Amino acid sequence: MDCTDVRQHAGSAIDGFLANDVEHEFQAHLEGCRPCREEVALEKLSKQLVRRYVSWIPTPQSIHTLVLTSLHQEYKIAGWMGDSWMARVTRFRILVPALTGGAIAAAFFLMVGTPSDQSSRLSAHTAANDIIHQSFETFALLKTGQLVPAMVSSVPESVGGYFQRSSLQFGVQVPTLRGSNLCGGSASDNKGVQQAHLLYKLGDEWVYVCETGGGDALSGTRLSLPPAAKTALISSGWYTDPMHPNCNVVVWKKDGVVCVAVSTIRKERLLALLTPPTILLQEF
Amino acid sequence: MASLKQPIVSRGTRKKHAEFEAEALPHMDVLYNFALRTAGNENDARDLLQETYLKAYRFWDKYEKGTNIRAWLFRIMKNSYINRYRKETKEPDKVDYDDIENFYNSIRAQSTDPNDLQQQLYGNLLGDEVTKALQSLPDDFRTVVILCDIEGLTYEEIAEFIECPIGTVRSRLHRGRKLLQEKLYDYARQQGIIKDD
Repeated sequence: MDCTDVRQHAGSAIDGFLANDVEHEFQAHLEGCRPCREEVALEKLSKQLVRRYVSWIPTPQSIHTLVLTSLHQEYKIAGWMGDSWMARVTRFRILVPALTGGAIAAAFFLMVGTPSDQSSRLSAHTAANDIIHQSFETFALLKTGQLVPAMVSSVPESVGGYFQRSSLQFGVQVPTLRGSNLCGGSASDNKGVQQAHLLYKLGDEWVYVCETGGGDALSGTRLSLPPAAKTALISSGWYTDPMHPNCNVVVWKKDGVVCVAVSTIRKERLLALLTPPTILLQEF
Repeated sequence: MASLKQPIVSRGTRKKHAEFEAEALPHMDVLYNFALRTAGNENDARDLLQETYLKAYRFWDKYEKGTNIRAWLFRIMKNSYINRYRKETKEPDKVDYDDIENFYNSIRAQSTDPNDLQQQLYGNLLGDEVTKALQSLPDDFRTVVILCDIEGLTYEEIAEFIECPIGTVRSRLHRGRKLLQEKLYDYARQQGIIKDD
C-alpha cells in the first residue's frame, strides 16, 4: 500500500470501515510514513472535534408536537377537499406555471375542474378586472375544491416563507384570524398583476383573502375597484361591500397593500376577525 | 351556494395516515439533527422538518414501499432546503483543493505535531466555533460530514441518501474534514490557542 492508497483509505480507517487485511496494511504503512501518519491524525482530529462539540440531540417535544399537529391539520384539509384532490395536485403541479395567463386573477391556484358560473351571479360587480368580482370567482372555486392553494399549510410562518420565496413585489401580510385554521396560500402573477391568496377555515366556514399591491388596485388600469370602495379606502382604509346577500366582502388597505376578504360568515364577525386587536399581521 | 362538506375520512384514508406515521415518524430525530446542523438554528430546522413531513405526506403515494424510507425522507428535506435557501445562495461555494493541500503542507512545515494540535484544540475551542465551521462548509461536504460524524450513518447509506457512488462519499468526507480542520486551525490561530512560530 503506498501513500496514495493510504490517503484514499484514511476516511474508512477512521470510521472503522476497513476490512481486516486492508487495515493491517494500512497500519503497517502508517508506522513507516510520518507524513501519512500526520495527515490521518489530522483527519481523525476533525472527526473527533465534530463528535465532541456538535452533539446529536433528540427532537424537542415542542417541535415533535408541532409536526404532528400540522400533519393532522393536513389530514383534515385533505378531508375537506376530498380524498383525491391532493393526489391531483401533485399530479398536475407542473401545470401551475402555465396557468399564470389564465382568465382569472388567481391563476396560481391549481385548477382541477371547470369553473362554476354560479359565483358570477353572486357578484354585483362584473367588470373582469374588478378585484371584488375576481375575489368572488376565486372564493366560489376554492369552496368547491376546484381550486386549491399551491402551498398547503396551517402554519403562518410556512405560508409566509412561501410568499417570501415567490417573486411578489409587495409585502404579503398573513393575518392570524382567531379561532381559524390557515389552510394555505398561493402567489399569482397574471401579466404583471401580482396577487397573494390566502385561505382559512373557521368551523364550517371559509375565509378567503386576496392581497394586491396598492398601486395596481387603486390606479384602475389593470385592476379596478368600485368608486365607493376607492373613496372609502382613501378616507378610512376600510370598505364593506353591501351587494352580496349570501357572502360578505371586506376590503381594507394597510401599508400600501389592498386586501379583500370574502366569506360566508356574518359581516360583523368577519369585521371583528379582521380588525385589530384580533388580527395579528405577520408581514413576509 | 354549494354547502360545505364535513370531512369524511374513509377507512382507506385512515389506514394511509396510520401507515405514514408508523413508517415516517420514527426517523424524525435523524431528520431534525440534519436540519439543525444544515440550517444552523432551531427555528429554521423546525420549519424544514415540518415542511419535509408535510411534503412526505402529500407525496406518500409516490413512495415505493420497501425501499429506504429514511433516504427518501432525507432527499425531500434536502430538496426543501435547496428550494428554501436558493434565493440566498447566489453561487455555489467554490473550494480550491490546492489551498487545502497547502494548509496541510504548512502545518507540516511548522512541525506542528497533530498530537500537540489535538491537545491545543481540545478543550480550548468552543462548541459554537465547531458548529460555525461545520455550517460554513460547502453543502456537499457538510452533508456527508453531518451524516457520517453526527448521524453515524454507514458510507453505503450515505451513498443512498445523496444518490452518489461510495467513492464520491469517501472523497467528499475526506475533503470536508480537511476543510473543517483548516477553518478550525485558522480560528485557533486567531484566538491565540495555537501560536505562530
